[in-house]
Amino acid sequence: MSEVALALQDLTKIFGRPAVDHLNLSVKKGELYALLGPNGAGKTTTLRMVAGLLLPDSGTIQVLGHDLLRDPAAAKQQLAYLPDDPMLYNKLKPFEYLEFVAGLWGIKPSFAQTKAAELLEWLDLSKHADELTEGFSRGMKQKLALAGALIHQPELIILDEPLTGLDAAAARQVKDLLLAHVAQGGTVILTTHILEVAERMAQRIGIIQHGKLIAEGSLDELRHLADKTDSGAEQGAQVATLEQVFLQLTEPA
Amino acid sequence: MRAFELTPGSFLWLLVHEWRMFFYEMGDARKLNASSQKLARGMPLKGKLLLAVVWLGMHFLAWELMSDLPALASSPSFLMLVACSFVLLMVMSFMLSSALNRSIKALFERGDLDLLLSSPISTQAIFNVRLTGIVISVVATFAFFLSPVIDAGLFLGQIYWLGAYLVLAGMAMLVSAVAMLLTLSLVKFIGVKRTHTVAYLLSALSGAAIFLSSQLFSHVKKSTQQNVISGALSYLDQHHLLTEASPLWLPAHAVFGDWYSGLAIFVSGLIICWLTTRYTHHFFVRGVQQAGGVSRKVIPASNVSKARRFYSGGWLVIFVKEWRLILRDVELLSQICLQLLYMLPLFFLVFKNGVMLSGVVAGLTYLGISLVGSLVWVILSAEDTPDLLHCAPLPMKKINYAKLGAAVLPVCFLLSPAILWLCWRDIWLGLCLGMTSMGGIAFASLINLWLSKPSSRNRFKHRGQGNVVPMLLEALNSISWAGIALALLTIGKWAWLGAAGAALALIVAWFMRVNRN
Repeated sequence: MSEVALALQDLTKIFGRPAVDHLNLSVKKGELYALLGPNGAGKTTTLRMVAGLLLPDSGTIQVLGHDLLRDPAAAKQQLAYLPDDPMLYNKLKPFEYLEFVAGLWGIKPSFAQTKAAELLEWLDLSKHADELTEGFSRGMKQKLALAGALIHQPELIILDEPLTGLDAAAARQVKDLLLAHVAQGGTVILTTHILEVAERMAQRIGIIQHGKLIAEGSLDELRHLADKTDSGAEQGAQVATLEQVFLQLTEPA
Repeated sequence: MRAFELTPGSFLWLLVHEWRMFFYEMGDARKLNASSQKLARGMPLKGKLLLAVVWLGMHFLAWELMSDLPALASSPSFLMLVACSFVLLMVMSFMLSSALNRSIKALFERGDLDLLLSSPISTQAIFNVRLTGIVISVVATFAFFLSPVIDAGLFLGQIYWLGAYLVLAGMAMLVSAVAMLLTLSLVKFIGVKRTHTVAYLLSALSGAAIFLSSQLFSHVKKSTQQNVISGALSYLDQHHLLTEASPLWLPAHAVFGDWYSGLAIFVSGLIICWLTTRYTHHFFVRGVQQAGGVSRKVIPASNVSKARRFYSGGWLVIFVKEWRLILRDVELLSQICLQLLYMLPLFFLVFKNGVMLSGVVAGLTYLGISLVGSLVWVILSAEDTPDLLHCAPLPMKKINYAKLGAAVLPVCFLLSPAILWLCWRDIWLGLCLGMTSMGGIAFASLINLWLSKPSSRNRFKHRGQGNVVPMLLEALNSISWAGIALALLTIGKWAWLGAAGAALALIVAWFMRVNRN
């Protein structure tokens, strides 16, 4: 059984200019990996290719040992993708939405029903079970989409800006859930502009710019890398936070 | 620097913005070409060209027809006045439907009123512009259909046809003011959410109101009919409304070239619009505030949702989800009902005469195929979250087939009583309807499957604007299958013509199919 949750090889996508440029990336099982980069760096394009929403121009994508292009059903079965704009139906109620998602992933109705009730209870949405999602706040929609992503118990969860629009309590809930998923052996890949989140949660961080991975490692490794590349900095002054590391590595040459 | 620049924030400046938005709303935003990041908005060039060709063609047809007819008499007979007034009343009911639709959009759907009302522009000016925008869009829509007749009259040297333009503008102003007042009153009395629903239903019904009421009236007892008619006539007579000088016939007089009547209609419309904006703009602001501040209706969660057993299997959950979404979309339902309502004349005629069953079969075939075309568009093209479906481990082919099933099944269910009834009358009629409707439905599904492009539900009414070819192929397919049905039941040897049309529609759709990769 493969120990790699996600492996990208020479992944390329061109929209007029290369959005993702021969990207190689590997994420181990049981890891929380944060993919960072400035706006337009290619993060979302990469994640959308991994989720099967975009066809790469070249390269391969292996999800939990399954080639996404050759065997998409097997690759997607254990994968959940949560974009920053929740994939919801305005005219469905929470249970109906979860029923539909569970049906798409072929989950047994009896199991899905119990799991849906648990998730809605845990995400504090049970009391809104009879409302249409069109009336939900941004945070409630994000939480319902998260419930949809979790109902089929995926091994690999990919999240694009998962904390956008969430209040402090909901953000905490989501962070705890992701950490619990990793603690149970699951894998999480997320993009975020809140560098503090990546700094505190991620075991490994990848920085992407112009569609290429320009740096990767733990926070300490990135600090070290930034120190080495910081030719203009005062001697002895160490790069401390991820924000400084990020800005230093992504600043124009 | 531009040679002519409007003062920012002025009435005209805002009106130009409104006018621009009217055109942008005529089509989905799309990329100029595959590699371009630039977006084109509004109706595509192909659509504009097609509209221009149709409009010119209508001019030519009208000119051909009218050049053989005698010129309109400057003092028409009373019967002509009544007939013309009836036509204008029909046009007015369609105008009201269109204006109601636009006032709902202006109040609830454009979503720019918060921005406008938070600006220093006066609320009165905003309301003036919004109402003017509705008037202009109603005039533009109806001028497209009516101008060929008016222009043809003008080309033939009958200058008095210009009066019809005055009537058109006057009626548009009147119905726009009424539609806006009606929408705002509904907001006041029944709340924003219900207004949205009720106004759409009113809009759907007002378009067919005159026809439906006339048909219902024709089905009541003869004695009741006579009582109602004589009562109405005596009332009109008592109030001198049946004389030629009665204000009831003012619009008809204007169409027949009476400039004073035309001006009277136009000025009346203008005054009503002015009064509406002058005295109800606070009402408008309150309506907008109510629309913007509509609070989420918190429904206490019952145990029903939790206790209800989940459906199993990909097909079934897709069916249920699609049907739920359609049944909860009042705007969409009202538009589909409207589509059906406009088909009703055919049925009233054939059922009343009783003997034209071949016409019933052809009509039902056409209706069934059109309905499937609409539902398939809603379910396939207007999918709310295509990304969720693409992320799922189910193959897209299977999902699309399930979606087609969700569109086709309700129509088959609706058609089945008619098929059974016809089988009871004559087995061949029932078989013919079954065969042609199912064939046409299958073709319509495939045409949509091959040519559908992502869109949104609120584009349903305008779905043809960005997709001219699919709409034409769909229409060709429906007409061809209805033709096959009619030919099989009347002159069998011409059925091949319908079959050729349907085959052509399918083959062209196959060659033009969208590459999903």
